[in-house]
Amino acid sequence: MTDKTAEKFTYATFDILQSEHIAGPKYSYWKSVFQTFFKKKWSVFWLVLLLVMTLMAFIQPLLSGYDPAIAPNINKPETWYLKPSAQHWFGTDDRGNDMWNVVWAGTRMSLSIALIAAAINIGVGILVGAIWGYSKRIDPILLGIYNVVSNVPGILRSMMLMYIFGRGFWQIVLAMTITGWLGVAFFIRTQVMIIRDREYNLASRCLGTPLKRMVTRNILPYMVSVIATLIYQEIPGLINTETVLSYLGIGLPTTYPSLGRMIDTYWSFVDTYPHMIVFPGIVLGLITISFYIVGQLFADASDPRTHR
Amino acid sequence: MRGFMKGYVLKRILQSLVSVFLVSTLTVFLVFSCIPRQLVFKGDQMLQKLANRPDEYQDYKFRTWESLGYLDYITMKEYAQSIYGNDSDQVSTALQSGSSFYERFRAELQAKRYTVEAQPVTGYLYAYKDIPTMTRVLRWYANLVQVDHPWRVKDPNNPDLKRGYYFTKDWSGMPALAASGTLYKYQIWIDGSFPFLHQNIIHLYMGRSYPTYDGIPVLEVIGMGQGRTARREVTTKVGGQEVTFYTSIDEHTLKYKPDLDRLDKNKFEDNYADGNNIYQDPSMLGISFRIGIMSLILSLGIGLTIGVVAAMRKDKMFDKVTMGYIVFISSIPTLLYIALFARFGMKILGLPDKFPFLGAQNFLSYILPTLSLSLGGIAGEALWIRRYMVDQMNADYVKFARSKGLTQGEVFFRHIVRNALIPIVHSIPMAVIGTLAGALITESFYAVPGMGKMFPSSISDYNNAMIIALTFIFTFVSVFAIFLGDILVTIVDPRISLAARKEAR
Repeated sequence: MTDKTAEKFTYATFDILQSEHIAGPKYSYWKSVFQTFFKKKWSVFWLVLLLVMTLMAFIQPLLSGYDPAIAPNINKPETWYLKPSAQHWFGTDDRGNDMWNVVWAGTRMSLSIALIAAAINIGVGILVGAIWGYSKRIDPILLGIYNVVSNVPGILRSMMLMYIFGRGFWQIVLAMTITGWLGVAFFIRTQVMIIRDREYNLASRCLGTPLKRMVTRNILPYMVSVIATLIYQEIPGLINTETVLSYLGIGLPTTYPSLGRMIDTYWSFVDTYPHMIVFPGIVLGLITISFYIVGQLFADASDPRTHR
Repeated sequence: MRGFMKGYVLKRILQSLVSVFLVSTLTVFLVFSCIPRQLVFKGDQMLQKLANRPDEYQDYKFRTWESLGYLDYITMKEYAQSIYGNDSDQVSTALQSGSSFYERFRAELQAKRYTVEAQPVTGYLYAYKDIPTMTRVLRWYANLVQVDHPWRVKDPNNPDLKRGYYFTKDWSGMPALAASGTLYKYQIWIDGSFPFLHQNIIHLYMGRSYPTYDGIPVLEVIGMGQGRTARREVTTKVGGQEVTFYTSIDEHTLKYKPDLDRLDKNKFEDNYADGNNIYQDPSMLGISFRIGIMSLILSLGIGLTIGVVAAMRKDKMFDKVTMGYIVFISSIPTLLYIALFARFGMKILGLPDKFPFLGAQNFLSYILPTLSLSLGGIAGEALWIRRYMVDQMNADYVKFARSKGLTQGEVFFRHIVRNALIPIVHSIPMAVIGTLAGALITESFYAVPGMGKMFPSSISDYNNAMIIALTFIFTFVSVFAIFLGDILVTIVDPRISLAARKEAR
């Protein structure tokens, strides 16, 4: 009897590491972020839409080879103003171009400008903002510059700069970025100032956490959500600026396809051939909304406080 | 406390002025240094007419540049006239080909660091010297404020011009302070339009408009009426006799005119006969101001209301619809929702989607531009106030008030909304800047003849002076709005007024 119960037990070895182990659930930041994000079907839908549209915008123009400077069907009136059909999904325009090609070429242009400008603004903004938040010496200087620049409405600034630089792709990027990073940097500076003096960081510093670990474990997880917020507001905003500049005739030259230029050129057909304005409009609307919503949902998911 | 406020206000005024100064200096500098001067002729019809007359073409170009302040320009003829006077014989001998005057002109002007070139057909020489950008920036500021005084007009043909001020009545019989020897006849006058008391003593001058509205000072282009001239019957005294005539001249803008013609002498007693017309439609400034103020009121009124209601019904249907609207407006491009709204307004409400269809006199023309301009503002204000209210609802003082047994409505309107007054005041400058920025887009879209449309079209026309002036005005308005917001917040904030009360005891 005694022997049989003894068989069910084994001797445990004494392990110094085991005794140090703190019982608690395993937590991985990024795993939790994606778990929270993908839990909602809503976010998956918008993410897929965003990916499909972005891929279409970057791949389709390579295949179609559409160039607004060349109008191959200009002398074939039978190809003009066609309504959407199986052959031409979005119909054709006043010069016989397939609207499907036109729309994706325009989306590619607008999206490239917005992505490049956003990358520069956010990259420079984060870098400068992080230093700005820590350094007391450069704070008054940058704050002075920021106060002057932010007094001028953003679109006015871009228009002014476009006038100075002239029309063109890189000119637009420059006009958007030359003062655009300042707003991002100011936002980051404020966040860094708030987070760096929080109690948990103070405690962490007192306990001797090295700076590298502080930055990667304490500050960055908070900043991910802040940066995601920045991105989802920045990209639709920059697409907006590009469309406005091109629509007003001071952005891209007429030989470039872009969503803003499309609204400008096809607006006169809005009553007679509405398909020429409706499809660019839908694509433009969907792409900016999906950027905005995916970004917002990701920003929510990347906030450590929402992880359970 | 008062001393503190005064110091703060003074500091903020100084800060605002420095901001405006820096932005305008930078703008003037960039425009003068970066825009190739050849481009200013892009919209000039005159130059195209001269294309097959190379000498006049060249001369016209340099004269225009000189009048725009790019360079100093002098021709051989002018130089000869400055030396020999208007004596035509000596001047024409000097201009004959092979004359020694050619060498003299070249040598003397090159010594003054001018570039000397010959005209392509006649071979006459001309010289020009670029004015440095910094000098041009300084000149812009030097000319900015123009003060009128009785010794301003210097007319060699009229040496007995009286100089001094006197009281008189204008054409409509209202009392006015007039002057002689000044550029403007009426110095101070009263009339029925805002701000009722007007003056001509201090004028701002930001250069002349070119190539659109050629020759008119840019601020006058923005400020003068548009459309058809408005004529009215006027009775005035000329040489002791009563004269009645129909005119569209605005007597308050009468300026000194050196050479009077017979028609002028029938209407005016003195040399002040050069006036601007009265027009039927408001000025660019007036139209933009009307639309801007109305849409500002709408976006604050509607935005704050739906924001408060959404916060009260958090997570209910109304809140979700409001949030949907906010996401829609803040994510999709401005152009797109304005276009959508314009279609909706035209097809369903039957309103004109272009301003000139019904014109500035018709109230209906203003509806769609004003509403479109406020769409973005409504979303911004609603988002801002809703977030603020939701945060406040979880605040300790609200929980305490509720646990004391106050009803939901009492808590809301006595505590939360009162506290929300601060962010409302704070959001006004934001709304003003949003309206300014939005005006650039909506006015172009609806073809509204206002300042917002003028800016992009000046860019396409290379109207440098206009671009500088509009940037100055827009910056000034937004800086002033931010200043006002900051001052209002310090006045409205209950914590500051509490401190003031304590001190008073």
